[in-house]
Amino acid sequence: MFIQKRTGLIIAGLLLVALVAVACAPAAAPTLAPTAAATTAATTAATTAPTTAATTAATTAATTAATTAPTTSATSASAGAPTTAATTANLSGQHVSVLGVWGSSELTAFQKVYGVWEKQTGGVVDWQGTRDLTAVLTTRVQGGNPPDIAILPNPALMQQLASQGHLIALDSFMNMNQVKTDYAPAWINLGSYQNKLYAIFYRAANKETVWYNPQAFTAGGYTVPKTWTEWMALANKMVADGKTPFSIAAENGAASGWPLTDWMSEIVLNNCGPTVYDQWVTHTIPWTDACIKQSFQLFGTILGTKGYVLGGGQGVDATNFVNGTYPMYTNPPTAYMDYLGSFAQGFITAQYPKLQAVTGYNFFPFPTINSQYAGSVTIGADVLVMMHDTPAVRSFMTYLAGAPAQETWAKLGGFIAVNRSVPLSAYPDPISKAVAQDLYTAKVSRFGAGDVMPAAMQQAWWKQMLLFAQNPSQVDATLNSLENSAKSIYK
Amino acid sequence: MFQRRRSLTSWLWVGPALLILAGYLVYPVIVTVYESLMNSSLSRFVGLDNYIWAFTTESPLLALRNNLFWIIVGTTATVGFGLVFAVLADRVRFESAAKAAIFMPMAISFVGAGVIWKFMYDWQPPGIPQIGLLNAMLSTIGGWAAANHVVLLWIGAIAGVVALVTFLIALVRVRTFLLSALAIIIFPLAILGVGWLASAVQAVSEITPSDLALLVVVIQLVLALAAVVSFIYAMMHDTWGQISIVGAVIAALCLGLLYLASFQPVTWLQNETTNNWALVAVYVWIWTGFCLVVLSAALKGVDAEILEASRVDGANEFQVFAQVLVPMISTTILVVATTMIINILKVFDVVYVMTSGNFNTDVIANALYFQAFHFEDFGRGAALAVILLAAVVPVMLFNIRRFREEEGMR
Repeated sequence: MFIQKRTGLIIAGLLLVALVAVACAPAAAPTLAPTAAATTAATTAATTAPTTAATTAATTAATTAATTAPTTSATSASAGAPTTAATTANLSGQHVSVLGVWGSSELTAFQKVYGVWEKQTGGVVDWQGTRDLTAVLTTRVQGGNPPDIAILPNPALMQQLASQGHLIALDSFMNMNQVKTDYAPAWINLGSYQNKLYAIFYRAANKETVWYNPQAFTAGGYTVPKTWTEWMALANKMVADGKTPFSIAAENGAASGWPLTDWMSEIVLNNCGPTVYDQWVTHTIPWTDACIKQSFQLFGTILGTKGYVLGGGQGVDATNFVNGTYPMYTNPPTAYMDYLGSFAQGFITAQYPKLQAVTGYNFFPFPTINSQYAGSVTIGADVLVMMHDTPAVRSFMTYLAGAPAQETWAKLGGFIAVNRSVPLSAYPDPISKAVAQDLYTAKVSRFGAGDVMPAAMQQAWWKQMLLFAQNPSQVDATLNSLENSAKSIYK
Repeated sequence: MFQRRRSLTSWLWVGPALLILAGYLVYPVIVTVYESLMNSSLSRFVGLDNYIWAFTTESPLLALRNNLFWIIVGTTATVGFGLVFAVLADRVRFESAAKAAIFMPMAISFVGAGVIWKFMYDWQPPGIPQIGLLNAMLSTIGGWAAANHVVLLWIGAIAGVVALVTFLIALVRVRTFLLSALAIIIFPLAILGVGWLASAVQAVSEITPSDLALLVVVIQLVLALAAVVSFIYAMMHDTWGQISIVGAVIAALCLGLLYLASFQPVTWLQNETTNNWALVAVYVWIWTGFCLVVLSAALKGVDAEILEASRVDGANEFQVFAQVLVPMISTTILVVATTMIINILKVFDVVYVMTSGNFNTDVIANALYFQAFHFEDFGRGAALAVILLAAVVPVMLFNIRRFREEEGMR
């Protein structure tokens, strides 16, 4: 009896000690992290990037860098001197943690890009990849442990972080004259908050591209449409021939629906023009506006006409957006046209490596709806922001913003540089060159509408578009619901 | 002195638990309630605005509606299947193997289960090979049925004729059966009668046509159910009736297969008529094992002599189950049901992985996650969390009270 009681006391004491240890652990972690970062890569990966995916990414990064560094560094050397001297400083063993959404071929290319920097400076990049970027970043920022650099998918999030004071102004250390030579004023404006530059736009997407198979077009006797009317006539002709004109695919996990809002953005910009577009994005006109409604009806016609879309409205919602780029290239093709941003080229070439650009696969610019606004393009771009100020982070940020780093990726394909000092000759094939040229010379260009709306509005719109795909005749109900959401979100 | 030592020891014992509870449960709850009264960035007090938003806006209301659907369907299915399997497993020789097989999904994480079932429900456009098990199975059967539709038509027709003939023989042979057959004949007459009555009532009163229509439908359903039950009951007691039932089943099967011959792959998770059911099915697949194990343990506690006695008294197996077994383990059923309600209220993983709350499948926990971590609206997120907590607490209190009563009886 007595012994039992004593054991009890001892166990209770042990529990108390354990409790104290648990309570102290969160407080100790932030102070430990920097020291750990300085010692070994393995520990940093474990402390700053808790997911297993990130750990493996870090290891693969190391190997890829080791194997590819010699070739890529040679190309960058021939491409010209680095933008600033900072890139050549000795940063041996210093770590830079980067948070982004890239995976597979995109990540491999980015690893080659930062491999060059690692080789030059001795610094180490710790990559953490996640498809759920907003949630991971929010949690890390709230927890006082933000990454050094984050690659955001849209400027709305960047503006929000800047207004909350979580970002470091880039004009404090970057050569602004160089930045102004490299970037068009519009991009610098988009990346600024209260007249300070906080973001570099990195990898652009031209969202005017409708992908098709030229050989299948020739075989069917189809010609590339210039206007919306011609486009619909072409679609009707295909249906009459027993073929399916459109492949539309919207599934992407928690971000499902964005390909559909991309469609709508492009239609609204081409149908209503930039003024209405800007008013719509900032909610100074309601969703129920006549021109917005007309644009929804245009898209509703495509979604709702029998035989137009592969798998119908439910197929749109159930098909992954990457898989939606394939049906044009099967034999025989199961669909003939797929509207998706310029990044679709990467999906097509990864799935069908033997397809020749221009002859095997090609794109035509989004057909004109209102001749007044012909040639308007919507765009997208990844946004680089900095959240910790150390020499290594400054160096890496400057390196990424410069033309040589962007040229490295441009040469690998699937990359449209925002930096205008990157020569068109860097693009490896005629299609990416054409996409880049269209982007630089567009008369009117606007950021994809969803990307500049508040996150809650963007998500509500995605959700609503998924429902709209299945009920394309419900234009009024869809717009009323969106207007109600907007009223509670734009406060 | 001894008394004091004892109380000190007991405080030491519960101390760590209390500290952990205070730090990791009580404190967060208080903070969450406080945050639910603040604006999106938690910088300004907004009173009950977030709650008003939650109960007047379309999207959170939809999440609440779906949670209700989950509770009703999910709890009924898990507890129901668990009970049925427990009773059935009790009678087979490979009981533990059967139970283990049903319990197995409990070992799979919800995220894993979601990913697995996403493949089960996968959809490809018609004409392309289906990867999803469900669509692949149905389209394979459909393809087979289409290829053999002539044979199916013949078998179905013959079975149908046999069913009809034997039905007529049984009709003449059994008198009790005549009564139920009469009910079947009366049934359409009853509908006509009620319809006539309805129009007569409507002529003199202010009841709206839709109220009446509802009334008529309810009466029809009750009558139809009574007729079908008595019909099957009577048929089972006659050899000809049994043949008729078998014939009817075969005919129905052929008809079903012929229907599948024109099967088009279904987008289970995107189609609004199937998706909530498809999601609940995953949860049922995971949790039925839990209900089964607990209920099975309770069944083992029921004295076999009581069951024997009721059988001797002339009760059939269904009566033994419904009137003896179920009342005797009702306490356990209640505990399992309340546990399931709490579990299901908190559902998140399955929905997040499989649909992210799209296509009108949103639930509170998922809406909460998106509000707080995607839209950075911590006020609204916290308000949803408090609503979820408020929904769970009464069920939990009920569970605790029940538990105490049981302890008190010992």
